[in-house]
Amino acid sequence: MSTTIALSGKGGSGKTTLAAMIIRILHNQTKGPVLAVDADPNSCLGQVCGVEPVGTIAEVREKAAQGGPSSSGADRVRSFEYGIQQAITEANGFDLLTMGCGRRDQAATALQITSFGLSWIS
Amino acid sequence: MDKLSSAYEFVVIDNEAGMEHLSRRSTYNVDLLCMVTEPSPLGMVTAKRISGLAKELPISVKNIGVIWNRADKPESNRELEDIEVFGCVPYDKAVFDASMRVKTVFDIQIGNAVFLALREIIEYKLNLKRVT
Repeated sequence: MSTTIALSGKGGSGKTTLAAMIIRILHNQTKGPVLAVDADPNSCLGQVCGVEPVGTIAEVREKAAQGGPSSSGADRVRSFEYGIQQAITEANGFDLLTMGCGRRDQAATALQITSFGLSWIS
Repeated sequence: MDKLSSAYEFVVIDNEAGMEHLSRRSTYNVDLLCMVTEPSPLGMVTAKRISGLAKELPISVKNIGVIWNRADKPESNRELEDIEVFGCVPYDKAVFDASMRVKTVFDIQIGNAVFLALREIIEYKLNLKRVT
C-alpha cells in the first residue's frame, strides 16, 4: 500500500520546488521507491529534479488515438499500459511520470489528460 | 494491470493549482494534501479556497493542511480558522538561487534550512522513522 502526497497551490507559490524536495527527502529517509507525478501542465517537476521526461501521458493518448477505432477494447488497454510504462522516466532514487499537454488542435484538454493519467496511478 | 502506485512506497503528485481535474474522478485517495502558500492575505484566500474545493470533490483526503512557504518570521505561522497548519518553511537564498540558475534540488545541500523544515513536517505527518 503506497502513501500518496499531493501538493497544491498557486503558480509561483514554490509548490514544484517543495514537491521536488519532498521527493528527495522521502528517498533519503526511507530508500523506498518513489513515483513523482508532474500533474501541472505548466510546471516542470522534471527540470527541478534534474530529469528530462522520456514521454508524457498526453503523447500516449495521442498515439493511442492514431491507432483508430478498429482496435478492440482489450488491445487499447494493453497499448495504454505499454505506453504508460514507456513514459516513465527512471532517475536516481525515483521515477517520474509527466502528464504533459496535448499539442494538436484536436488534443484533449489538460484536465482530461491529467484525470486520465491519474486513473492509472491509483 | 495493477495500479501503478502499487509498485511504489510513495507517490508525490505536483498538481495544478485548481485541482479541478480531481472532480472528474470517481475516487481518488490522497494521504497528505499540502497546500503550499505564501503567508500573505492572498495566500490565505487561496488556502481557504483549495480546502473548500477538497471537501466538495469526490476525493478521499486523510490529511489536509497548509505549508507556509518563504515564511521567515514566526508571526507568519498564522492559524487559519478550521484549516490545519502543517508548518512553516523559511525563505532561503540557496533555494532561490538554484531556481534562478536552473539548478536542481539535488544541487542544494541536504542540511539546508528548507530541507530541514520540510523534513520535520514530512516525518511528523507521515510518521516516518528518523534515519540519521
